[in-house]
Amino acid sequence: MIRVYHNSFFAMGSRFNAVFPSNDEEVCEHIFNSIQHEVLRIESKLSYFYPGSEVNKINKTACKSSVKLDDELFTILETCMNYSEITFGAFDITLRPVIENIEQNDKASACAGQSHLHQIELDRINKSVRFSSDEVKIDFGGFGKGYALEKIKLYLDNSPLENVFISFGESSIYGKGRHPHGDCWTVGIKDFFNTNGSLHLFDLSDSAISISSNYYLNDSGELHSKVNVINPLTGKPADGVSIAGVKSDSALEAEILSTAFLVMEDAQIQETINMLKRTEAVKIRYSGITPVKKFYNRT
Amino acid sequence: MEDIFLINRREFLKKISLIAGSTAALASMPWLKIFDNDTFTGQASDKVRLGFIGIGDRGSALLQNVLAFAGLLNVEIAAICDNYPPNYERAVKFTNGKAKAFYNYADLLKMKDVDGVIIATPLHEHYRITMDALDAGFHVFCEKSMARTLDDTKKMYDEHLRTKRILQIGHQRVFSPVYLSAVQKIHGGDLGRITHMRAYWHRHGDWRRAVPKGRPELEKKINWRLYNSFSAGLFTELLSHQIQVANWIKNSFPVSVSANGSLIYWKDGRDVYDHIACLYEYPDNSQFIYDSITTNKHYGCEEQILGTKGSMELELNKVYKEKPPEPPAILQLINDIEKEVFETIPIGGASWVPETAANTKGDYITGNYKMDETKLQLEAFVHYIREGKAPEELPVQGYYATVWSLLAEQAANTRQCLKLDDKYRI
Repeated sequence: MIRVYHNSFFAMGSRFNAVFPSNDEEVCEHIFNSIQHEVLRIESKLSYFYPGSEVNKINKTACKSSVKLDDELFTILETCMNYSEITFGAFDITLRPVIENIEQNDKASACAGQSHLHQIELDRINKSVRFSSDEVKIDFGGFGKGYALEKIKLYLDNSPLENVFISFGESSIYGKGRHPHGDCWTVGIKDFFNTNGSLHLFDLSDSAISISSNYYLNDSGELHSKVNVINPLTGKPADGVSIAGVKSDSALEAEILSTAFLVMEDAQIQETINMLKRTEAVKIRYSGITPVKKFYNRT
Repeated sequence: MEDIFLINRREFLKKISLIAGSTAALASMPWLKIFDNDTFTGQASDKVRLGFIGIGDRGSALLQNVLAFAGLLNVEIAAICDNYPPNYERAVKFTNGKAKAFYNYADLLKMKDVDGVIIATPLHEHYRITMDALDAGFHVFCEKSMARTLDDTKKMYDEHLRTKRILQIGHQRVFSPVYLSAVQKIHGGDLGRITHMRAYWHRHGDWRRAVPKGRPELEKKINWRLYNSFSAGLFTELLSHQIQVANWIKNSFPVSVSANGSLIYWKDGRDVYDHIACLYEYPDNSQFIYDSITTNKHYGCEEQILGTKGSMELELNKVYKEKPPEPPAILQLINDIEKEVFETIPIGGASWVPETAANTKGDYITGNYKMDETKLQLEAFVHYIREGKAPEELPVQGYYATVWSLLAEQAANTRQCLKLDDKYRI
């Protein structure tokens, strides 16, 4: 019987779980520790909340003067700007002030159209950033877990582990190889109102899936709403009950697109999917308690 | 289990005589099943008549606690005693002159119809009064620590055995729902192996009580905690509480103690340390680190229990797991792989963020409660007298808490690592 190494830790406000079907506990422990180290490094750099993070420093000073960035952070910002373009502005790293305003004041209507993405000035020659307004705050909340998984994916490519399943916050999943008793890792999106059933199945093999929703099920199966999913075009929380799931070879791309697709219209989602390779998506909108599913792949 | 601590105490006390021994009683008296090794000590009685010896600050608090439940629990404050007139007069007032009042405890001990005495005098007086009270046939509740010396402490314990009277020492945390729940969970393995403990009690103040103007001869009587003829200061007055908790958690007693002490700030004539630090070792080689200071209160009072699976902060009623709770989907996946089953892995469709953020800040060891542990320990004393029996582990815990506090004082004075002489083992 094959043994299963399992370990977990807290990071990015979520729980990170790694499942390694392997009999070599020592190797698994070493790989897990390396992964944990890398995830925590990324968190300490990208966190909006850590006082000493790079992002926090940028948010405090970039409105006053240009802030020189290291290669990693400059690439991250550039990537975010590019994905904003291909998602028609739906992916937006400047929405944190809107969320905070809603959480504190519950005045969603007053915040419409408060994206500040256009006020981020990237200097590609000097690799620096400057904000043209002191209202700009960047937040990698819809990016960090996918970025971390992408880094992990690269690390695992060179590891002796053939099969790996990683769940980051139960919303960002990466599967390397296959389930030991199957030919892939099959992941099913739970139906909020019929938790025994799956709304859609994704088969993962060296690929990732990310799920975004404006609601979530807790461990006890109870449905809760979230306020941190904002439509940047309206400045309001996404309405209705919706789930967007994206499968991609890139964990980062899956993460970014699932956030964006949650607030995008069907035609735009299809247009975005057509720009990408090996990416597919599903969006479920509930009509009452009845799920209505639409699937997107490259046409 | 948790909701029991929300019950109305008054309602509970009205019913207590009817439900004693029932599940409901256990729920309302969380201490009822602690240390499951009752020792029979005498005949049960109905009305419990108590005498109070020493009614200063602590004694007054104990008296008022008993007065609060006396009517409901059929308790009579039969006698009071204090040799300091202001305390004596205050106690007479508290009891509306109904209790017999004495200046000399020996006179109180001549009373034939008193079941038990509650002793809250300065530490150095505990030994003589407790010995006399036990010898006279009284059950005794004595505030911690037990005595000023190891020999006196041992004699007190032996006298309790000889006379077959209850001897309960004032370690109120033993009766706290939080500590009871914590110990139950720790002994049940919730924190894994307990590999380390830390505790501290930090205060900012000179620890003095006001001495009446023009009466300097009362200084040592009132501020007895500051003079080592009467007290070991921070060792016997604060550390003793927390070493008791550590012993209880470990379910064993230390094998050695190293300590240090310094008098670096309050140079006002006192001769006890105003800062102490101790290091205890337990039989499994784990350590308990302790310090108590009087010049900074930022960190307050805490006992931190550190295990391989989690940590507890007992004063804060908080528990922290080393790892997050397992998501059901992951548990199912592991189970499937081990059973050679290939199934879909369900995911909830969204992040777990809101809950996780709360859990990383720790969970409560037990639910909210409104029960005062000082009152609970006194209710327990009444209960034990009425039943005519008490768990023997209570005086054992009190004994070793005092012994290891006094040994820490000796270690600090000698700058040596000390072990307990076999003659003090019980």
